Amino acid sequence: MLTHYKYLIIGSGIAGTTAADAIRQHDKKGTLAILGNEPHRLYSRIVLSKPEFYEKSGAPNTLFLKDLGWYPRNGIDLLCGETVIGLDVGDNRISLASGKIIGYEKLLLSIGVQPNPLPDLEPAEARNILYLHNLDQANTILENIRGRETVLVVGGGFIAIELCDLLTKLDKKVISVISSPRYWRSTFDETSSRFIKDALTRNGITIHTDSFIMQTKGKSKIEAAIIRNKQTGEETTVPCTTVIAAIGTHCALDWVKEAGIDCNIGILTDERLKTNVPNIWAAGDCAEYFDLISGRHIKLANWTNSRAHGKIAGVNMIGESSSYRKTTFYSTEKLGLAISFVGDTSRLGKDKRTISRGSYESHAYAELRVRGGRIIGATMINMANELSSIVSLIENEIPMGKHLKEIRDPHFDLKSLLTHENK
Amino acid sequence: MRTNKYTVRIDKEACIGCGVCNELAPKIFTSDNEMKSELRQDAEIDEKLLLKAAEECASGAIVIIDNETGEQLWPKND
Ligand SMILES: Cc1cc2nc3c(=O)[nH]c(=O)nc-3n(C[C@H](O)[C@H](O)[C@H](O)COP(=O)(O)OP(=O)(O)OC[C@H]3O[C@@H](n4cnc5c(N)ncnc54)[C@H](O)[C@@H]3O)c2cc1C
Ligand code: SF4
Repeated sequence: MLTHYKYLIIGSGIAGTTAADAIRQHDKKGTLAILGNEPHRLYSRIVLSKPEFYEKSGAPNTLFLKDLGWYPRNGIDLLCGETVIGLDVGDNRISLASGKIIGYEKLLLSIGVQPNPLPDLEPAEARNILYLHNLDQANTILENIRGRETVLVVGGGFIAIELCDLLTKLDKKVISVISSPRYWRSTFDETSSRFIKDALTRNGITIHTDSFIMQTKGKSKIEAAIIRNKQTGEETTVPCTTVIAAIGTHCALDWVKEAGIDCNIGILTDERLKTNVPNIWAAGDCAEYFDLISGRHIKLANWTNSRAHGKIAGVNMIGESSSYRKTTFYSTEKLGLAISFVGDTSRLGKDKRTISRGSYESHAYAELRVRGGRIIGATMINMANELSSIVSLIENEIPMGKHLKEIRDPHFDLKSLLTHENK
Repeated sequence: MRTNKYTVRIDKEACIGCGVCNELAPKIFTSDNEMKSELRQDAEIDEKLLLKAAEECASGAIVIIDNETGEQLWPKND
């Protein structure tokens, strides 16, 4: 007989698990399963880039966020190690790589993102490249860097910077390779990027900009990487023992698209996290949702957003009609810098402009994204003490009016814009 | 912060400001200017909620020490 659940959640991460929790707060009886292709219950991805994970041999007790008993206690079937390969929205069924078919009444897609693979390498070389996205990959990194000296990190975004900081703290020699002329180019302007480059240099990390890996040397283990400078054409052999790639992420959406669910870079939803197909919702890193604050579809990839999405999707699956309206942010203290991202940080968009606040020289700098005369997002370096003010300015949709010039000056108190008449 | 039973500390560098602790135990946690967790001055410590918040914190930033035994209850030092 076909296994059938009233609520079926695909993806056992924070979005999916929070949704299951929210469903159970209201519906104690409806059959409920969380299905995921990782062989683990909910764990913290954040811990994977912390030194504790490696110092405690991959088993710090902050890793797992639910005990194994939580699932049966709440009447939740946890189906680990199962990969969904097909979805039939007519018959309300999913098919799994294991050959099983499962029916659902309401479905949540909380399938996260996947790391982009390093291009242009032969299959045998590609096998030796490591990634830091899930627990098994973190364990592989742990095995590879035990006693090893030199790690080459490819990429210049969030995970790459986390890795550079982590490996430095673990006393490894770190080499950073990026294909662009500067760090985090998709989000940061030149000044912000400069903070990152200088912090890496200060921390003893060797940098190769405008470069890519052509080839790796060594058979079962890497002994060196040959990197080529795109500007000069110069090729350099860099001895290293491990290569970790962190060159962005993508959503693996083939079977979702084939099922007729509208997708762009993520799964498109309305502000209630509902897809175009009845009885199917999307939440977390994979959801490109209609953001009521910026008035457009956005896709974020942070813990707070994924958890909050899970809550809203869960209550909507039991029949409520809640909208998601939240300004999420993430902050990280790495390489001696306090870096924060809040709201819509993308530099793209014709109707959007960036106002700089502070400067490199003053060691504190923010890029405020402004649209329609109000702040809709920001990137901040060493300005974390203004984070709560910026979140309030975004959430309360405060018009900047005549203050647009003044907010460039870091001495201008952003809190003063949060007066009662403005709120 | 020290109560009769526990000493509680937030590791600010580790905290990502996700707000989970505040949501689970609003009488214990609030947030500061950096949106990081902060212990309320007038916190009413409910032991169960405090431990639950610490266990659900994705960055292991809530440190709890038992005053009597000196043992670190969370994160456990095993
Ligand atoms: C190393 C690291 C450090 C991070 N640090 C921070 C931080 O400091 N602050 C912050 O805010 N965010 C951080 N993040 C990001 C944060 O962890 C994510 O935004 C969050 O975990 C996403 O949760 P999710 O539930 O949406 O997706 P995920 O946790 O990715 O869960 C999706 C699950 O679905 C599974 N899946 C995908 N496709 C299928 C399929 N076809 N069949 C079955 N299962 C499938 C995936 O394998 C995965 O297990 C970090 C991420 C990483 C990797
Ligand atoms: S749960 Fe942890 S990370 Fe989140 S705000 Fe509280 S202390 Fe910070």
